[in-house]
Amino acid sequence: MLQIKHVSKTFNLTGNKEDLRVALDDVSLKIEKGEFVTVIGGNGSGKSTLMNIISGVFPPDQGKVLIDGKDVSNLLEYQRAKYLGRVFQDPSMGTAPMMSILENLEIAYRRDKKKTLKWGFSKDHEDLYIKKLKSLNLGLETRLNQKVGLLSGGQRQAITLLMATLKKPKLLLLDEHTAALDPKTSKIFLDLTEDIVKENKLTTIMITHNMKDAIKYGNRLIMLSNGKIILDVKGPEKAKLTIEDLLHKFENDEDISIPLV
Amino acid sequence: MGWVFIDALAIGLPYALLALGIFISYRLLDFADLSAEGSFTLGGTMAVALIVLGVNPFLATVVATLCGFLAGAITGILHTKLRIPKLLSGIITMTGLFSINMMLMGWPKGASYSNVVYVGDNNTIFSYLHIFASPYLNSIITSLIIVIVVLFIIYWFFGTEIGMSIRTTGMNQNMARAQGINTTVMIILGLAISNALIAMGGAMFAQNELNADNSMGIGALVIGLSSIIIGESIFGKRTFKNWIISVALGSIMYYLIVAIAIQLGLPHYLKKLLYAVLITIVLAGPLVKRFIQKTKKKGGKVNVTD
Repeated sequence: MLQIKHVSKTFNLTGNKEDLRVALDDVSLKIEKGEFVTVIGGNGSGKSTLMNIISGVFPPDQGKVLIDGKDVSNLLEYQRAKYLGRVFQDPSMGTAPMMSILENLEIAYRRDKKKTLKWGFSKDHEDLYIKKLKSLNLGLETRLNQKVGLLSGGQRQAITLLMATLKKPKLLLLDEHTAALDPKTSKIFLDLTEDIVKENKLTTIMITHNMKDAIKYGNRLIMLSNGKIILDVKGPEKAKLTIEDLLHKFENDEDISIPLV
Repeated sequence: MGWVFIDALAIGLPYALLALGIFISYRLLDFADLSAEGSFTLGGTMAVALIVLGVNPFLATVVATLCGFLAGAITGILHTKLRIPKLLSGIITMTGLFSINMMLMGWPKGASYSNVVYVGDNNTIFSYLHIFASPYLNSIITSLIIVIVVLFIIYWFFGTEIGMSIRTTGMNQNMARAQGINTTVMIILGLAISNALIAMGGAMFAQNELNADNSMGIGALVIGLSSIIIGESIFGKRTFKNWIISVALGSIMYYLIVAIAIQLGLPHYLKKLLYAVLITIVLAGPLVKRFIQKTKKKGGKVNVTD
């Protein structure tokens, strides 16, 4: 489904040679159809860079990204959107605040299509939207015409998740999508995410910095450190994984410095 | 005093198109586009020059509108493709247009440049309607028809997939790209449409005044912004339909205030000062409102339970 071949990315924000920062260092990764991969790693380990390179926010310095065998390395962010469903860390990043829930969903419905001069709304879609909103259990199905900017962070993330999966994506990318939510909302939302992933049999990558969540959800776990994959477990091995194992791995990786914040 | 309202309509209607154009760049795309000042004049000079050269005034107005479309597209390309900051992109286009407008005004006379061009005895878009005896009223009706048609087109366009994509781009570029929207194209297209409307407003304004000169665009941005804000605060912006109608009415309200001030004896050289005071009042309005509410609360009832 997703293949990452020898991808490297170095950032140099100041222009000085001493300030080079390696974000990804020759990373290769193959994710099979139906896998739900959780990705963990400290700050600056390269998690977000990996996500951004898959979604085309910026190109890698070297290497290739293939989705379903198709080389998408040269496709721009908006051109890759037809393959990807994305939910971001910041709840305000995934929706258009001054538009209604209905308008946001109508835009998401056309994610994989070329935009034309056809009318941007269709009465036929409303039943589908109401059904999907009902499944969120947030009571949003009666508020189709409410502006998204008036919703809470958790509600907005739920709408973003719905938008990301409205048209079944080849790959669902969740970039610390619960980081801005309170613990209780976060739990409900992660369970919702799992339900949607299972129901639609979605291939998913979820970044998190919560080790418990990384262990609890998904069927494969990847740990990144200093731009390299240092742990990759799946199936029964993943099911047996404990927080102690992960901490142990963290500490044994001598290059890593866990921020003490 | 009844004529004051008619006067406000006569000037306010061409400016309604200017306000709607600026509304698209400033409100929908979140782009303070200074090319507006140049493209308003461009619309006027192009239309009048073509009319003097014998072109049908409606065709001349359409060509002027298309020129505005190009000017806006250039600003958009400067910003998106060449990564020039928004404000500077607009200033570059506006500055370049100043020379182009002078060349256009010289064109009908065969001169290399001029500072003014007159319609003369030629027909304008206002010469065709004969409902009332007064040509003045007829021209207002013509303007009104144009503005209403444009409002319908704007309403339709921003409800289409492309129009929705432009609005999304203006609100949240990250989300737009994640939803498969080519934000670069949408910014260029949005600015092009914005400046097309502004140039159309300029073409109407110049034909109304029977001439075009290089100073007609000065202050266009301020007039447009004031109209938007006045319209929004008086008539609201609950829905998109409500919003665009408010903006169009805003420019008429704006000129109603100006016309009343002139009727009351305001000398013409103080007009720009009045504009400055007006926009300050409008912009500071919400703050003043809050201040008044606060003082009211302090002095008001004490035993409020809720």
